[in-house]
Amino acid sequence: MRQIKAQAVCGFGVGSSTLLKMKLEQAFKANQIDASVFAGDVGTAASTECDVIFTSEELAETLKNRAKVPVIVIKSFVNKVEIEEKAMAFVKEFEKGGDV
Amino acid sequence: MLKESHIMITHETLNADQALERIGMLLYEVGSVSKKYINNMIDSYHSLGAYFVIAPGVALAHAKPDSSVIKNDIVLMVCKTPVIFNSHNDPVTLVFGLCATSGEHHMDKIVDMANLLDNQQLIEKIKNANDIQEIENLLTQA
Repeated sequence: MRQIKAQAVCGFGVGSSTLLKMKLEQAFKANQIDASVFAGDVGTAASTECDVIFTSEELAETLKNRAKVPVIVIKSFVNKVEIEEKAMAFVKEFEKGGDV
Repeated sequence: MLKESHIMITHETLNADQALERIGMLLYEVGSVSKKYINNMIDSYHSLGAYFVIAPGVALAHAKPDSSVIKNDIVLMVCKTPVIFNSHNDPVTLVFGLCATSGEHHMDKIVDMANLLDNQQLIEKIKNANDIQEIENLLTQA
């Protein structure tokens, strides 16, 4: 399987997205998933190349209409269980090569 | 992680805009932003919503990196009367204020904060703390 490119998105790509990026990296690493995670802002996220977008509920609605990749909502950026479950559910679909 | 000058406790009843104004003023008072940044934070809340309320009871308020930011910084306000931001993570007791000069620079303080937020027990202690010194001590132990 090739490396997964995941984008963590917040309003400007500096605050909460950086935090989410770190949490996603931890989640992928803990499950031995080859993934690169980067932080992005809501303005450019939809047109930035990646396999999946992780973001908050508030920003997801706008992104879902514009992004070509799955947009996954994370309710709590500090809840390891939630982040890991949602990240791994995506990985499962990604491995199948199907639409998520 | 945070010095006394970067921490405040308030008992006031604040709405979302007022809370953002307070946390913005704190960033201004420690010399990390110009006053324009405070308005930018409030404007971005109005245009993008409460996405920065990143965990139950915890907000990470910030605006876009631009010329109104003097240096990277983080401040903390503990709201004894929790604030409603219109988020599924309301009501909010801990409001962090963040400013960054650019999105490119790695911020060590964000790493510290991420580790801090992992520690639910510590978060509870900070929420219940009654003076700034106590919070500073809790953050130093973290």
